Amino acid sequence: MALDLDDEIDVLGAARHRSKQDEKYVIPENAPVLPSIVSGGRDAELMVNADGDAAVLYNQLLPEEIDWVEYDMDLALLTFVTYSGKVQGLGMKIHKPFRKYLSKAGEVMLIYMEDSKIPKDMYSAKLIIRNIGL
Amino acid sequence: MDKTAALGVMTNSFYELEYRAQNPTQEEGFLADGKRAAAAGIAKTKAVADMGAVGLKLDKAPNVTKLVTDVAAKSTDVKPFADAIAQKYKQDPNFIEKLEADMGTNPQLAEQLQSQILKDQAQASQIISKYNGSNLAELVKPAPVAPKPSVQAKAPDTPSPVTVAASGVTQKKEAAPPAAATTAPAAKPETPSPAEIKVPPMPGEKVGVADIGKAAFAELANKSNSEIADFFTHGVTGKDGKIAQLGEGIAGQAAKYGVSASLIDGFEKRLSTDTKLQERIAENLKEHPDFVKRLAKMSSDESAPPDAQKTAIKKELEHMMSNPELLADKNHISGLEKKMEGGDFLSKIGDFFKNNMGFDLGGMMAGIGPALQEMMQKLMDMLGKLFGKSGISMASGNQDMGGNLRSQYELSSMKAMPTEGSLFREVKHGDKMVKEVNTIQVEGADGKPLDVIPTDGAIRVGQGANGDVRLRVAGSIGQDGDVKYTRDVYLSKNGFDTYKAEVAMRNAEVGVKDQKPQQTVHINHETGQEFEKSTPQQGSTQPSQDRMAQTFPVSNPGPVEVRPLSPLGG
Repeated sequence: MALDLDDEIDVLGAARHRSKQDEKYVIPENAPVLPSIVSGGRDAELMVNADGDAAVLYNQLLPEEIDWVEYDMDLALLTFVTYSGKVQGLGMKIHKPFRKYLSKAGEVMLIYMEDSKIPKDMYSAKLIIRNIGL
Repeated sequence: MDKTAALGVMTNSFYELEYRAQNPTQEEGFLADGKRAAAAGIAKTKAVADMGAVGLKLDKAPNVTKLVTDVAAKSTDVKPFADAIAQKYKQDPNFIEKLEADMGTNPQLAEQLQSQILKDQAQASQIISKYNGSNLAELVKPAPVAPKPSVQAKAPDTPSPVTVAASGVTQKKEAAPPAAATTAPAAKPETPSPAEIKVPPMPGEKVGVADIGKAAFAELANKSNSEIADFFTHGVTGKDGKIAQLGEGIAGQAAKYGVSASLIDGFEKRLSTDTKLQERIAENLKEHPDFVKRLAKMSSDESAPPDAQKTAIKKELEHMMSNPELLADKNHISGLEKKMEGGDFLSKIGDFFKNNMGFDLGGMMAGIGPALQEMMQKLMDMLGKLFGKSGISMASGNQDMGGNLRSQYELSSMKAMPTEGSLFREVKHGDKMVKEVNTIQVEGADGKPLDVIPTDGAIRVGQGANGDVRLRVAGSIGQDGDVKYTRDVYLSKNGFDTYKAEVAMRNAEVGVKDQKPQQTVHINHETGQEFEKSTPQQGSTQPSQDRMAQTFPVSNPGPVEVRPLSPLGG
């Protein structure tokens, strides 16, 4: 007769059954990569007009000021480089409708909207376009 | 005494003059103490500004500068001389130029003047006060010494030694006895003469060369390009040179914007010790007078920077302070000059931003200096451009930040106008008096009368083929006419003409603005698909732009190109 050991102490169970949540990677404090702008409860909105005037609005302060922004058309990514050289992604894919207009932009306005309603901080950062044509 | 110390004494002379002008009475009590403290603060600020202006003048007057330097070097006290110069400058701000010209054309007179000042500084100071720009020769003639009066009008309570230097030898003599010894206390006049007003010590930190240099630099804001080039031609190197002082000024601003202390220290050290860099910066600034003028304006701007500008300016300062060579880089300074452009709109700003744009732009614009206002204007122009065209938007949440920003931007350009001199009227509702907004009655698109708040800066959002107009006007206003919410009204052609005439009669500055029909295409950030936004904008009663486009005809839906996408987007 087989033994029923389900009720026995399973000291290795916790390691074997670790959930995906437990395995979440935490970016070290001094890493040169910051969590995406859209993360940790922070929302963002990308606006681009027909002339290529662009703005990114966000509702929680960013950890560092942005020095310049890079738009990789091949990877459909918008990456922000901070004053100290850290990189921070937008956290949203730059979908195709934006390509035509965002590729014309020379700078991006960064606007902090307190409580998503009140513009509290506003500055512009140069935009660099990358397009190898992959 | 060296020149630096002499300039410090001269600043004090200006301070005393200003204080006495500010505080002509000798009141008692704690309220008077407060007034005195305030007067002292104001007097100090004005004195430093005056010294800055004198510093600039001395910069271009080598003979007068030599006189000041020599007198300082050969004396232990220059107060009578400094007092005379300060007093004369207040009477005639151009006397330094006149004296310089006289001393330049007649060096002998210059020597005589110096010799007399060194012989009896108090006596010779009369020469300065009597100088009118053309009588130096007459004034420096040796004159018989008049016998001193037996009783002085007023002297310090305690006799103090007055130091007079002659030919490098310091002599001391006792001051005249106090007037109190010969005057009964009851005879004290109700209003003291300026000399009787006790001046408290200058408040705060001691004024140094850097403060005077900063004040002199601030004066450059109103100077011509050639004067600015002259300014950076000499005295630019060394730890007390003009570039070091400029560095100190920039460092002071940087601290206000929260730049780290270590970065500031490093920057100041480079600008005060690297002679070659100092020379290169001076050469570069000579070629960029407009930049210098703007910087000079900012240096004297004591107002708190607005939130919306702090980050941008801090970023710029950090960039410059970590690379001080940038101040010597022609291209970098040209770029900065462009960033600081935009002064043409200054006069408009006050009205334009009177409304509360979340961070109280109205109050903020009134509270900040012109230099910051210019930069603020540049950002607002960028917002105007962004909202001036159709566009696309993609948000990670559903808060409609873009809609809120657009709404606030529009509100900031509107202002309710009074009817018969008043924005509101009292109306009886039951047994209560209620305040209602004054409106005008115009014909609606359906032919019925419509009450509308006359609004300067109303926006014609669209126009139908039959001439009907959709007009965005104030829907709710604050006490001073600031627009809190907008509403869209639909007017017949006649109604619109009446509306325009009504606001024109009220001397509208902006009147009705046309807004090109715009469309905002919303993209789902996960799928990349276009979708129709149903959430109404917050902070405004108006529906979003694309929804409005469906409820009222517009002539041109806008040039946005949208194509169907795959579920993955891209």
